[in-house]
This record gives sequence, C-alpha cells and structure tokens, in this order.
Amino acid sequence: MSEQQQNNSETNEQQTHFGYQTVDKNDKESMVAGVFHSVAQQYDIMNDLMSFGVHRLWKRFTIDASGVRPGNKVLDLAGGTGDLTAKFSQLVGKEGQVILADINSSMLNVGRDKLRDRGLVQNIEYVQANAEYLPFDDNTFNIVTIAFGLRNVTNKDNALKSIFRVLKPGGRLLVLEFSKPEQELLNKAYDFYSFNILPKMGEFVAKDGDSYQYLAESIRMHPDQETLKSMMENAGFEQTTYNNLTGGIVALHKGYKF
Amino acid sequence: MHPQLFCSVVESIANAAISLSPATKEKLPMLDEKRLAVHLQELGFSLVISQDQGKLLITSPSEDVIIADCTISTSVSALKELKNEQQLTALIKTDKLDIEGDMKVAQQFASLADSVDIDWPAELERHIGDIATHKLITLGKKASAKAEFVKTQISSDASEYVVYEQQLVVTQPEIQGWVEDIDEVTKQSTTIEQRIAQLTERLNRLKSR
Repeated sequence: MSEQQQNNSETNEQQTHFGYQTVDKNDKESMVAGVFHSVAQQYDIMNDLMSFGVHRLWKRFTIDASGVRPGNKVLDLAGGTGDLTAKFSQLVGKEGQVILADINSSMLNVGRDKLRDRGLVQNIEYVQANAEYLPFDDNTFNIVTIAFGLRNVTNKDNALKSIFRVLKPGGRLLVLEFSKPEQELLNKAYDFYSFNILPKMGEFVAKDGDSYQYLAESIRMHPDQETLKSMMENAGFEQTTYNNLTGGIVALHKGYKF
Repeated sequence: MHPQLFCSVVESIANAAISLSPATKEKLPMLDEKRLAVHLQELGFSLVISQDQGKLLITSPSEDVIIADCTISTSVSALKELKNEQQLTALIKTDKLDIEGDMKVAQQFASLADSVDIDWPAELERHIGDIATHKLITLGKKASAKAEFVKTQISSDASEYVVYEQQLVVTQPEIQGWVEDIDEVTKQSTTIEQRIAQLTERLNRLKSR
C-alpha cells in the first residue's frame, strides 16, 4: 500500500485533507474556495511563473491526447481561467460546444472575461458546478477534462463517478494533475522548490503565500499515478493509461467510457 | 512533449506573420472548417493545420487515426517541390508524396503560405522610428549590394578557374609519373656512382703495382 493510500485510509470517513491538515469534509469546499477567490486575479501570471511557462505545453499535450474533433461536446471541468476551453472552442468549431465549469465563481468570472476579450464567444457556455454533482444529463459529453482541479475536490471518487455518468459511451476523461516525479533526485529538487521558493513567489506576486503553501501540500497529498489510475478504473473507466510529463511532476491520465 | 513545443513555436510564428500580412489575412476565411494533416518523415509526428477566427491552429494529435480533409505524407525536401503543380505526379510516382483526400485543401493552404508578404520597412518604422529605419534599410541595401558583388566575384573567379586554370594544373597521375621518373634517375645515379667507385678502386690498384 502506498504512503498516500495509508494517509487516505487513516483519515476518518467524515474528514479529509486540506494540504497537510485534516479537516472536516464539509469545511474543505469553503477552504478551497477561499484559496481560489484569493488567487483568481493573479492565477495566469502565477502559472507562468511557477512552471516557467511549461504548463502551456502540458495543456497542449492534453488537447492533442484528447482526440477532439469538430462537432464534439467538451466539458472543461475545474476549467479555471479557461486555457483548455479556449483551444477546445477553436477545435470543435461552430457545430461543437465547450462548457467551462468551475465550482469557484471568481475563477469562472476571470475565465469568462479572458475568453470574451479574446473574441471566443460563439460556442462556449459557463456553468458553476461541483465536480461531485455535475448538473448535466447522462451521456452528454464526448470529452471531459479536469486540469489541476481533481486534487482540490473533496471526494474524488464521487467526482470520477459523476464524470463517468455525463460522458457518452466512447467518450473519454483526461485528468491533468500534479503527480509524483519518477527520479528521486528530481523529487528532492521539486520538494525544495515547492516548499521554499513557491510560497515566497506567491507572497511576492499574489500577496498570498499561504495559498501557495496549500498548493505544495495538496500536490503531495494527491494520489500518485498508479493510485489515480486504480481510482478511475473503480469508477468504471476502461483502457485507462497515463503519461508522465516533465519527469512525472505532472501526469496525464486518460480513460474511456464504453 | 517535443511535438507540442514544435507546434507552439510554429503556430506563434505563423500567426505573427499572418497578422503582418493583410493579403494572407484576407485569404484565411476560405479555409474555414478545413483541416490539413501533414506527416513529415523527418519530424516523425503528424501536424493538423486548421483556422479559426483569423488564427491558424497547429496541433499534433496523438491518435493513430487523424480526421482531416486532406492528408499529405512527404519529406521536408519534397515539400519545396510541391509548389510546382507539374511536379506532383512525378513525386507521387517516386513515392516521395502520398496524398489522401481533397487536394484542393492542400493547395489552398499552400497558396496561403505563398501569400505572406510583410512590409518590413513599415513594421520596423513603427518600432524604431522613420530615420533609424531609413538608415538601417540603406545600410542593409549597401550590405546586400556588397554581398551580391562578392558572390558575383567568387562565381566569376570560380568559372575562370574551372574553364582555364584547372586545365593547367598538374594532375595526380602526372605527379605520380614525375615521382616515379625521379626514383628511376636516383636509382641510375646510384648505380653509376657505385660503378665509378669500383673503377676508381681498380685504377688505384693498377697504379700501386
């Protein structure tokens, strides 16, 4: 059993993790909301700074792996400021549709303003939704993506089941999320960067070091590659695979509903 | 992630070029809803090119089956020859080019690439001012003229060398023959030297009697 699985099992059924803290499940949602209300305005610039711009390549990799086609219906879950939505909107064309969903109204507003400023309006809808209880009919989407969002969800199993429900048969889920680096040396360098440099960067740019401390902690508490793959399979996904990106700092999991 | 990095760079350059070329911008809408897939042997991955709202989109789908209006498989060297329509049949026959789907789509994208015409002086003027632009362009023209002169001079010297001087140059077999002749002369002179030495010795012996 992995360290993370042990952590999960040790956590009481009514409790969950908020970074390294153990909190009541009912409180996590509002605590995560607080983090994202705080960082929403500086989210894009911080992403570029923190990842040295590489997050754009991770997202491109996700788009390329999605097999998106003109006319597809795509749900960009926890879509934040809409990076994936922008690209999907261009690729699905006039016949397709992209729904940018996020539980956090501040992130959704920033995303909507950004996409409208870029003239992307014709095939995008915005929905404030909790990933665990998606307000869509069964078998609605060809593709569902959740990029850097799953680790903030209170009950990940419920979210995966909810996504499975709204996917059409033949549809696929792509989960882009921080994961566990493959090399020990990279892992140590990444730890140093996450806990020593990242919060200071957050303090300096977004005036909120605590949120970026949470970011580093929540990444460590997120299931590793194999554990997340098993969780997806438990939710019903088939042909589940993952690709490690940048040495496993980030992983893209993909699974199909048949 | 190399394909993604490549696509990202090419897409940025292409869109920057299009934004500076009004003729190209006008042609973009005719490619609406059209997708061209290109597989270049040197790259080892496929590119899908499409357009949306005045911007080119370049992706590299990881799926085996790529949906496109036209799919071209070729190499970078053959790509240059695609401009010449008369060459197409020859390229296909020699397996340098494989086309599936609507060839017209590929030609429309090729025509788009050909239409890129950027007014560099006007663009430069916007950034560094008209005097600096004028000086820079005058300098550029002088450098270009100088380079053209050097190129013509080198070409002329090379022609002269090939036509006249090369015929005067001693060839390798001639050098070899000359070396062999010298060896023969050396051998003969050594033999004569030895013969003289022997005769001298005999003469000395006769004198001493």
